[in-house]
Amino acid sequence: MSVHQYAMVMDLNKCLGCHTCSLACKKQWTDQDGMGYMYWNNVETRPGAGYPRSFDKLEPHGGFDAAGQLTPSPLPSSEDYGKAWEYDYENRLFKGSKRNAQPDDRSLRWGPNWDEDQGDLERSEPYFFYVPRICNHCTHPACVEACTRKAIYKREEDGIVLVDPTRCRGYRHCIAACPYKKIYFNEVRGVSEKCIFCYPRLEKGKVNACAAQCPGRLRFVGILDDPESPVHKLVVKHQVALGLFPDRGTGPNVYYVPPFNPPRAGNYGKSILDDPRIPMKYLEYLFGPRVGPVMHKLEQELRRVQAGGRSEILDLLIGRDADTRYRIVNPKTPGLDPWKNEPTFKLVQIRGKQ
Amino acid sequence: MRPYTYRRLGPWLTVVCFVVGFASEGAGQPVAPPAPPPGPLSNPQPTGVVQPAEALRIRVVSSSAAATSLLDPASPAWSTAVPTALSFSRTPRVYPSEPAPAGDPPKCTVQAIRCGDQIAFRLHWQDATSDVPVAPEAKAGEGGGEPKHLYRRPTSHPNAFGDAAAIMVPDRWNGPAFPSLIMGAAKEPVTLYHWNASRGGAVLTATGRTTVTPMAGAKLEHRASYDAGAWTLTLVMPNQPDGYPVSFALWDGARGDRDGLKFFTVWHVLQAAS
Repeated sequence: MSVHQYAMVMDLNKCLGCHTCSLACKKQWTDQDGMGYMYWNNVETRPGAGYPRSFDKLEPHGGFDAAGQLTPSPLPSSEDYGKAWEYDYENRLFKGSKRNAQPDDRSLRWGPNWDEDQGDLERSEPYFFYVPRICNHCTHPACVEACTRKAIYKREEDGIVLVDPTRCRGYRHCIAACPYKKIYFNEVRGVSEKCIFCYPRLEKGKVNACAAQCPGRLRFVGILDDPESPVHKLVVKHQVALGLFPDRGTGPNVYYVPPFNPPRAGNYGKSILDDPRIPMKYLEYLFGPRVGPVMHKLEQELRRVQAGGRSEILDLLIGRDADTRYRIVNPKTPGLDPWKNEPTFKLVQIRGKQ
Repeated sequence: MRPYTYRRLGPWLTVVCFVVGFASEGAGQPVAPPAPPPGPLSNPQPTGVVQPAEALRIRVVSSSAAATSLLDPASPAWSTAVPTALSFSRTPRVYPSEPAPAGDPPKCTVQAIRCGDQIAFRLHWQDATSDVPVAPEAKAGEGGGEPKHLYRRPTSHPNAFGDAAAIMVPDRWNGPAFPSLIMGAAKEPVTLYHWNASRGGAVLTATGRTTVTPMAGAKLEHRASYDAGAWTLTLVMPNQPDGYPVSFALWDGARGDRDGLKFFTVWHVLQAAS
């Protein structure tokens, strides 16, 4: 349990599925040896298999059961993650080859986003939406609980969950325990690696790379217990953002504004909940039983604005400028004032041992 | 049976049981005299494989050969060392959701040779699969150019584990009680000579569970090979006197063994073979 908790809210109604966030993260953090298959940030199409494939269907599924016992799952295979294929860069880029760039392994039958935009049909009408995912920096991290090396820790000052590569010996209990499969094994370094919530950027007062690059402006970042932060307003004050798979018992700190569920064709004007295009059962599978009341509340806000009124929630979700979407403060500062001093956090080695 | 029946038959049953018991005491095979207690380290001449039931002792022969030559598992010196069969136990499951451990413990023998201030061990154990997951090298440029700026080494085995073996030795020991088998304890530091098929050899120190730490600058002289369904591992470490405890552990990568998921022995003691 940390004193403060950095958190992120993603408004799924604004996600374009462009993967700019994934590329920003990949370029910043996971372009080293052994990291090719890792996407600390990924965007998956729902309904869909997700990344790694069917991570939410594993039995046991990881996280904690109702009795508070860890329920480690089987480890995903390289096929489940999708092998990181290479292209013939050298001949294509530097030696004038006219061949089209093709994956070097033509036998591949799965990869990240292999089922992108497929979605599903509900009474013959197609539907899908995108779910970007990073580490949830959980309040009760199953990875921390599972690590026999005490190599994973949750920073008291801001709740960010980090791996100490000098203590990690690559046992991968953390991967089995994480219900979101957001921690990865680097076979070259022999250690587990994961999203660091861009803490070196936060310590310089800059927002996470995935949020900074997002063209859809769907990410909101701040400290959950800071009353001025957008995440506090969306999660605590207005309660319109929900954690993914809340039944896993870890208390995720990445929250989602559920996809605003349009009514089916021919039923315009009806309530969202009367005749939804996206089956509520599927949304409840992802976000738990509170998703219905949240969508009802969002619908009321929308109607108030349509009738000429104002909505703090919608103003916030539109997020016209960075100051609305992000509030990056030093959690050690009394009163959670905006960052003024040099970073004071202990820097951990993030590149790991070779 | 109603109470009055027992009151009538009870005395007779007592007599019958006494007679049968007395008669059976002298029947069948003659009863062997009780085995002598292990006592001080007597030195019986072993023949063939010494079974653990006889004594938890590793027979150690001496050799004038250089320790490094004993890293060759085919060195003639090893034919003079009596193999001792090790009996392994399985660590318990950590979480109820883990699958129950399946299969028998591996069959394993150990030989030991003293050479000067070092002692060499040769472990030989059955393992149906050779599990050596290693990250592939980075793809080379097709044009033969320098690939480093274009390609990275991939991770190819996110869910595979390497076979491994280790010998644990207390850093200091005066007896009579053995140190904790669970990586020693705060006042009972141990050194682990650890080999992993994927990562090679390492010398580790520990003072209890979760405290295993690589020893800075230490290198484990070892050689490992897999042939015909069995691993053979030779390694060299500082010598220890007779009566000093050692214990052994094996990890089967195919079972997902790593960390505390392993096979282990109780403490054995070294004993010079005459």
